[in-house]
This record gives sequence, structure tokens and C-alpha cells, in this order.
Amino acid sequence: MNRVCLNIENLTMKYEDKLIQENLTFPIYEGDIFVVMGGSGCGKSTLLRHLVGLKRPSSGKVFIYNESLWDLDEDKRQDILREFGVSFQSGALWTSMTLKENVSLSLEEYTNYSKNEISEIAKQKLSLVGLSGFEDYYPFEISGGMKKRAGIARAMALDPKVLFLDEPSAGLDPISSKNLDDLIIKLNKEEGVTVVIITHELDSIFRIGTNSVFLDAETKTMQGYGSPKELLENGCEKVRRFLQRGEL
Amino acid sequence: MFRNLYNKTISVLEFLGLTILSFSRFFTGKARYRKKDLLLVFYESGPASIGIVCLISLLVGLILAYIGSIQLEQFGAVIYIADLVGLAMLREMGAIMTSIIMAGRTGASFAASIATMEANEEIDALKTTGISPIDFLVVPRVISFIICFPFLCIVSDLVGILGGAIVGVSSFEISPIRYFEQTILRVDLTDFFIGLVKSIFFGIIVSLSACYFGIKSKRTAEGVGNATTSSVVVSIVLIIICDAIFAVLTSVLGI
Repeated sequence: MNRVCLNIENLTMKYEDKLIQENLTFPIYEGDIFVVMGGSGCGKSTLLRHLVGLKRPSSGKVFIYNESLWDLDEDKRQDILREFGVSFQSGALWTSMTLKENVSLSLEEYTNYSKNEISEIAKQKLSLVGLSGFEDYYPFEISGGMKKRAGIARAMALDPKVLFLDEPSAGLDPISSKNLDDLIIKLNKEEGVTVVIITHELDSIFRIGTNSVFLDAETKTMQGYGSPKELLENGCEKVRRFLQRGEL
Repeated sequence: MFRNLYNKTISVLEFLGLTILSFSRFFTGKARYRKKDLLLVFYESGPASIGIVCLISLLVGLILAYIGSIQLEQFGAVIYIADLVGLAMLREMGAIMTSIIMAGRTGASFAASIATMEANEEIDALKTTGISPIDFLVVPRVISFIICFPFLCIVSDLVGILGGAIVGVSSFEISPIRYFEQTILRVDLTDFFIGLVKSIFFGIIVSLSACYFGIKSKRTAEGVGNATTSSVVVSIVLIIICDAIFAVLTSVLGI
């Protein structure tokens, strides 16, 4: 068993006074492609915001390599979070910058590379996601799928240990969606990146997921933890129904 | 209601505190922003706004001169149009009109663009990259307004006086030289600097208001619209309140 890179303990998430999920407890291991799944509105994206330090938990803790994220001082927290790459649902590319500038920004901030070296690394990261030749394009000049891939390239800029992807294949055609799954597998296998992916695309879940958690919107608790195949075979009724598109 | 008010107060104070911290980082060279973006907001705040500031100021100068002439003509004192327009433009109208135009033009644009970034998760992306959105988005905008507002105010003062002169020369047969001599006789550097200092305060108000409502907007299209509206309305209200405070202060100080 690989070592735990993220440990979620008794995490309760609220939006203002509204309870989203409570008492979430599960580990995420290094080298996993960990899928957070559940129906719409169950709090998958909110969980991501808690894991990447964008939102403080109402109660409970998020441990990153045994360090409690919110018990650290701001500088130390930022140092740890720099090990993460985050790709948001919409890509969230900075629209005033070209794709190359989007990827370069964190390199300019946190490395001592020269301008030419940064430019080369940015090109390499864009090439990794199949966007060679689009370096000087602005986000509004490319398609939705390309934006998502560019978002992944930006998240990969500092060679993160953990990559968080929020619904990367939502709204994509089946071929783009498959290509994105291939890319995630490639990053996991070849670059050794632990991937935490938020999705409710069943094809992707079974194809790439090595471990998963199921969040339930009704009970506001987690209803299953294990590989997607294990959950399909031995999970509770609600999880199995979700994994079989409502047919049981 | 009180809870809502409390939350909003805390939110504003938090934003102001973070902005002060960002400014301290800016002055020690540690703030993270792109020089390219700073130049772009400078262009938006200065050169791109001069045209509309000139047009409105010219018209304000014309209006002041015509309104003043109604009363002054009865006493055969139309030359004092120059006093009225010069004093009004330098002490009040130059700074106020510049600020209101900028609140509706560039301030609204800043609020909308930042709110759109919030809706598109671009601000979250900045945070996860470890870059403070205040450093990156707010500080360049506030600095550009602090620097550009006094220049725009000077332009507005001069063009407003020119507007008054057009009325004086064309409608009341005052010679241009006599008009400008009368203006110089009446106004002094104190009047000029009062307007200039006000414009700096108004610049801070408009830029902070625009950035605050942009950053705190909801992640919807409606949120972007509300942020823009709130930014303009609050800016104008705060400008008038600030101007009233200046009026009392200058009166008390006798300047």
C-alpha cells in the first residue's frame, strides 16, 4: 500500500448555514487516480475547494502528508499547497493572457528559470496536453475541450505531486472525453502524479479510477469508499444504483 | 438584518486590511502583479478616459457660465462669470465630475471584469497558484487611479474654464484675455490644490469600491451585473459624502 498523501478526518462542510456534507473520513493514497463521485449538488466541488485550501472546514481536518492544513501558518500552508495543481471545471484560464502566459505565471513566481527556459517549459507542458502550436492563442480563441486541457497544462506547470481535476470531461464530446481520460492515465503512470478527479461520468469513473468515494446529497454523508469496481459489486444500494445509471 | 450588516462590515474591513497588507508588499517590492497588466489599467484609467472627461467638463463649464450669467447680467457683472466658473471648476466640479465619470466608466469596467473573473473561477485559480488576488488585481488598479485622477482633474479644470470662456466670449463679448485675467485674479493655488487632493481621495474611493464589489460578487451573470451597479452607486454616494466632509473641513480651516 502506498503512503497516504491526503487524509480527510471528520470533515464537515457548510455553505453559510447550509450543511453540504458531514463527517467525511477517508484517505487518498499516493499514486491513486481517486474519484470523488456523487449526484449533482452533493458537494463534490465544495470538497475540492476544502482540499486545495480555498475554503476552511466548518469542522474536521484535512491532513496533507500528516500536516493539518488549517493548523499551519499561512507561509507553510502556501508551501504545501504549491505541491498541488488544480484544474477547475471551466478551465478558469486567465483571459487576459495567452495559453503560454497562463502556464508561465507560476513558473515566473516560484522558479529561478530564465525567460527562455520558462517559455520552453510552458511549451512542453502545452505539448503534453496536445496543445502544441496554440501557445500564443488567447482562451477565447480556443474550444471548451482545449481550455480544459490548457487548464491541466497550467496545473502541471510546477510538476505537482497531486493534481485536482474538477469535472474535466463535463460537456465534452465522447472522443475529447476519451482523449482527456488517456491524458490523465498518462500523467498518473508516466509523470507519477496522484490525481483527484471530481466527476459523475461513469465511463471515466470505471476506466481511470483506482479508488473512489461516493458522496450522497440526501443523507449528506459519504456512502461508499473503495475502487469503483468494488463499489459496483459490494457497495450499498444507493451507490450501486448510481454506478448502474439508476438500474438495479 | 443586524447580522447581515455585521457580516458586510467585517467583509469590508477584511478587504481593506488585505489591501493595506498588499500595498506594504508593493512598496517593499514583494507584491505579485504583471507590469503588462499595470500598464493596461494605466491606459484605461488615463489616456482612454481623457476624451469623455474633456467633453463632460467642457459642457459643465458652459452650463455653469450660462446659469451664472442669468443672475450676473442683471447687475452688469457678467465678467464675474470667469470667477464663478474658475472657482467652481477648481474647487469642486473638476474633481467631482472626473470621479463620477470614472466611476461610471473605468470603475464599472473594473468591477465587471473582476466579477467575471470570480464567476469563471479565475480568482480561485490565482489563489491556488499562491498569488494574492489583491496583489494581482486590486493594487495595480488603485495605484493607477491614484496617479491618473489628479491628471484627469487638471484636464477637467482647464477644459471647464475653457467652456466658461467660450460662453463669456461668444455671448457676452468679454475678450478672451480679459476673461483669463479675471480667472487668474480670482483663483489661487489653494483652490487648485484643494481640488487635486480631493481627486486623489475620490480615486481611492472609486478604485476600492470597484475592486471590492468585483471580488465579492456572486458567481452568476446576475452577480456580475449587481457588482457593477453597486460599484457605481456606492462610489458616487461615497464621493459626495467625502466631498461634504472636505467642504466642512475647508470651511473650518478657513481655506
